Amino acid sequence: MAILKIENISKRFFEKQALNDVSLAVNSGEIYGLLGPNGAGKTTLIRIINQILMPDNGTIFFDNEPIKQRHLVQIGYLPEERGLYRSMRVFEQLLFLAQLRGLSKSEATVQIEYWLAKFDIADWKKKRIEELSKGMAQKVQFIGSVLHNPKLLILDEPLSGFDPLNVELILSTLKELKEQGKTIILSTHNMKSVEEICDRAALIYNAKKVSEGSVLELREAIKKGHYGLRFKGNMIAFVNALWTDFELIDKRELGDNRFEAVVAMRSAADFEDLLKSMLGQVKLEAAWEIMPSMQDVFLQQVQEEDTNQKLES
Amino acid sequence: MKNSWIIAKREIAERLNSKSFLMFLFIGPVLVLLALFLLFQAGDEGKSQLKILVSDEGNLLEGILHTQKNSPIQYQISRDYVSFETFRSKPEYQQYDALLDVNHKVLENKMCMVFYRDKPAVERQIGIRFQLEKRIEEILVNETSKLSISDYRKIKQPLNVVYRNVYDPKQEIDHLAGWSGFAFGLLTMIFIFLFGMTILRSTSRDKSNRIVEVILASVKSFHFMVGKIVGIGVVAFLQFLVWTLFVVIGLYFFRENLFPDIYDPANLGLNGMGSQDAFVTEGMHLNKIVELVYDRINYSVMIPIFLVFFTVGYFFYAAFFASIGASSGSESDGQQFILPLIGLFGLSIYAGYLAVQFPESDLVTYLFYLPFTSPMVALVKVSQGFAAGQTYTLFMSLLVLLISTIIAVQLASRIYKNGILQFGHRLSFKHFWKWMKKI
Repeated sequence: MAILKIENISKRFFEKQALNDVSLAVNSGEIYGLLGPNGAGKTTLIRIINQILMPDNGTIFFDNEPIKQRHLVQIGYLPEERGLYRSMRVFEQLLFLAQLRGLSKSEATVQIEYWLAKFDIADWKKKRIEELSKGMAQKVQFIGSVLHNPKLLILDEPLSGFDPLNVELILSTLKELKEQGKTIILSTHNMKSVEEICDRAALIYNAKKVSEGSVLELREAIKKGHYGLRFKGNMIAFVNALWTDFELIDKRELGDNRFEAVVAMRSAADFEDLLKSMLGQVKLEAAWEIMPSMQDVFLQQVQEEDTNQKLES
Repeated sequence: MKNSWIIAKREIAERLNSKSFLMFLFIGPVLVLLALFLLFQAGDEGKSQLKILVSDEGNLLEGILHTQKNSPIQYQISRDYVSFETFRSKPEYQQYDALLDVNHKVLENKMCMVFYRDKPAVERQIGIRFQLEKRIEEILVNETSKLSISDYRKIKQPLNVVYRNVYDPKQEIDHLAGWSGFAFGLLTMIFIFLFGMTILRSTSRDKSNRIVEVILASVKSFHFMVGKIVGIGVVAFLQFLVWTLFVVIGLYFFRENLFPDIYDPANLGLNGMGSQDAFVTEGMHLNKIVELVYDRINYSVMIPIFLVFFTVGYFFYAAFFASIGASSGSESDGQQFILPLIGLFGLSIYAGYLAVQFPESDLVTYLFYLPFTSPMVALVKVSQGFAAGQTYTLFMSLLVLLISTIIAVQLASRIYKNGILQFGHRLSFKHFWKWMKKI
């Protein structure tokens, strides 16, 4: 069931069309990736969901109701441009954000204590924001977006500015939130994290939604039928075994007479035929289907869109 | 509006926790009191209790120049000539504050000398001159004519040419009271400008540190703006209350301890001289500042009206400051738009001056209703008082200001909403116009 339905949203800023008839649906309990290059319209869409901007056309439904200001207490938002009051102390800052999201002081205090302990930063409670490093401030801001226990969490580039350890901490926290039934919209350029945690994703490009689907579907849609093989033996014997049904695309020597190769199917042959042809020729250690990464999905769809637009114009 | 109050509370807490604000909170009234103290001192310069040795070589004044009962000036006549050198050095004369040298030719040359150790207060100088002049006149009239003193004084009475304003022939308009209103108006405008600038800086700082986006995801831009204006306004109000409290306590302290006799007629040394005398009238007004502060301001009327015009005027101007802050492309942007506002403040202060000097002029009437100047002019008008049946004009002026404030806040909220998330541009009037039109 969709917790958030975006229907035919358009937004124009004077001469610039920021969003053009964008529709998408985010299901309850999933992590949804919102992808696209800079300036594609992602942030505008996120701001419209958060009621910071009003669309020129279209409707947004939250829990099957047209979204209103009152729904915002059920949404958590971490904007791309981080901002905190530099002179405020960590606790005061979080209390302020929690109260704006509808929590009472006592409820907010419980949540703040919980999240500061979870992120192992309880000692920073009385520190001023200006005393914190950028990464520390990022953590505080992340906590500010989740401490009111929102149903829907919208995170715009949540991993930027974090070291690898903290990236893992954030990703594992997002997985935990998903397990608790929260819905997360993740706008990011970090394609690895999309592959790792997103269930579905949409690509926004030039103000339009270019594609939408599960991460697996998106990757499968552009896969080329390439397979990877790791074996021990003679390379000539391996090439001979491929014969006419398969084509060697790439190879890499691993040392100690071990190789990794990428092959493509030439005829109606399939993965099983490939494995059979290897029998007795080399000692197979591993074989797998090569799936395009989300990075590939992103680049290919952007290129296709550019080509289409050139043809249209 | 609950979120507006949360934002207002944060603004209040930020300022109350700021050392510079707390310092200014207490230093401000100290500076005001210091300025008043200096003004009081300037009006009451010099020694007020005098013991004077009169060197009356010609024996003219004995039995004539008396020390009045309860007078701050005491005379002691000496028939022997006492030179100022002797007066200065001899121990027996050290008890006297001044030597009045009445030489024997005084009836011809009309000249006396007063040698003082500490300069007497202006009132005392007038008192000595007044008494001496009267006594010498009496001697001269007795010696040179058969006129009685009262007849002589009738003849001597100078021609009095009185200048009167054609619009105020009975001198009903009280300029001094008008200045008290001007002082309140000036205070209003200074507070509005200072705290208006705080709104501008605070808004553009929120923009530049990008906290606005987080806040706007929970709060409507209108409520954010109102919260900021209210929060900073509460601080301004608090500062005004603290200043008022300190200044009132300070003035009470001045009156009770430092200047207890600051405008007591008994201290002018003119007892028994007749209150109709021009000197008395002049003497009573020697320290106008004291009279203004302690006597002329009707605090029970001025303070409530000041608070109403201050509050509405603050919201009116705050809308402009908030718009500029929200529209700026960077923290330093938008400075050029402060200049027109400074111009309007200058106009307001000038309008206040005009209202004191020409309260009935047409221009002042227009300025009374113009929302940019009405907080200033209204307070001057209130201090001057309204003619019977004219009090409604004050409410009309307030109504115009109130309606203008509602319109200004509505337009400002549009600019705020459309401009607050725009960054990196260079602010121009075009932006204001575009964002104001956009709903």
